[in-house]
Amino acid sequence: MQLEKILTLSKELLKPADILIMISAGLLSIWLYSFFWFDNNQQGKADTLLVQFAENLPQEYPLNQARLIKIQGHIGPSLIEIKQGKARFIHSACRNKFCVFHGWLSVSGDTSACLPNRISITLKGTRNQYDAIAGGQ
Amino acid sequence: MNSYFSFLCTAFLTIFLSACQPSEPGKEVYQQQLFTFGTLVDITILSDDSEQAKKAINAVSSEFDRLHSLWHPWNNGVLGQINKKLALSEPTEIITEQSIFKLIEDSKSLSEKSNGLFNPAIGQLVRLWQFDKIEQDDYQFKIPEPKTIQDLLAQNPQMQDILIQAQQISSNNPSTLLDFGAFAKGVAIEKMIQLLKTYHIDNALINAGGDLKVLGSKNGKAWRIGIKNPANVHDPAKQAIIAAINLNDNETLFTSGNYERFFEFKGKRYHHIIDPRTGYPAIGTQSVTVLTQDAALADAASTALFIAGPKLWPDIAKKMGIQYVMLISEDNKVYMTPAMAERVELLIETKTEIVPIIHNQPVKPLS
Repeated sequence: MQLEKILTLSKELLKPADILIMISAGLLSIWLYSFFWFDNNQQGKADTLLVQFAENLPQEYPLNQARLIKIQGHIGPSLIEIKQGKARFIHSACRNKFCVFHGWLSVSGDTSACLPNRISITLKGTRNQYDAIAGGQ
Repeated sequence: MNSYFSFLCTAFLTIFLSACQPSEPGKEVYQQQLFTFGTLVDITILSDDSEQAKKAINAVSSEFDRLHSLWHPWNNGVLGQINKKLALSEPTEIITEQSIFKLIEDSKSLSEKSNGLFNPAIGQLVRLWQFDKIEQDDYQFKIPEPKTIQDLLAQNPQMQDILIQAQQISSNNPSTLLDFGAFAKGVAIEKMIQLLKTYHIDNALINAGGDLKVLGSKNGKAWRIGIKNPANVHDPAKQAIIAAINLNDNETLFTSGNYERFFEFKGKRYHHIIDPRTGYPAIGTQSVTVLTQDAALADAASTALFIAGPKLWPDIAKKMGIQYVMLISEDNKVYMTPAMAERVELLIETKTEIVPIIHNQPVKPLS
């Protein structure tokens, strides 16, 4: 009885545009659901860069804004670049530049460090993130 | 219409978004990065007692510093002093630092099991390559003289040459010098995990420069680790992670890679893992990842299997009692034990070979 009432009312009140909105909402939900739960390509996606000098508190930077970060380290400055969701050392005061040769960091949990300058950069993500990356820096 | 539409939307969101709430409140995550032990150490602790977590992190930090100076092969710590005496072919004074004896005894046993591929007695050979100067500002890399390498190899420095008598250390062989670079980190991580337990920390991850051990879980979930793709370490356009693996309580993952410490010289890369059979950086392997429950064993085994290379590694893994191995050869082929293949999730398509570790097969001694 109640259901019939609702159906009759729905027919009277629902317009084609309402139905369109409901279908769109439904499709959006399905897409969001699959994107957040099943997309393996998103594995380890990072969204934040942490830059740390010695044992100080790390500074956070969003990865979706390209920028250059200059930070003073133990023996001189280090220059860090954020571009297209990735981050890297592009200059450091150390001699051998292992931090620079390390190249881009792109997945959450990955870390690079300029040991002589005591500066580290680490990527973090909010979902599907790795707790650590195995393999040397 | 509005009330019905609102009702439908609310119902929809309630059903689909309710999964986003955690089922129970988790413990707080405490994380600290330390520059110690010649690397970057990352400690993650889950605890509901912030004071206890901070105390534990401080204790781990001081202990790493202490062990680093004790076990450094060339500084003025205990091992540095021992090496100075060994270089003079003299016995040491009485050593009171017990951890040194354990390092030596455990290394002897592991060196034997690895057919000498893990060999901390080749400190002189390692020093010839001067990887200890890798971070010094005024150092220019040069390849050691082949004759110097051959002379040292001919003297055949082995762990069995090291003798401990009445708490004094001496050597039967003047070419032996102790460098625990392929072992100390594993022993230290194992000690740190035990130290965390004394602070009643049950859930933690200690990551020392890409080698790690976990305790417990991350709020009920296994610790998820990405394994670096050695072929793409320096290429940002390509997949940085070759595989993912979930680690459970007390498991440790150690990786030896040719991309970790190296010098580029005249277009050729000279990495830091020296083959005790040739005196030159080991060839054939890009990286080896070993999973066990003992970080010290994992450290020694990852080095030994790296040096063993794509053909010999199953024999050495069997002798060292390692079940979980992933080796990536220089031609980008992935070799895995069946146990590792079950645990690891490969993220890129690549040539893969599952190699069973055959039991009861005699291992040929190295010439």
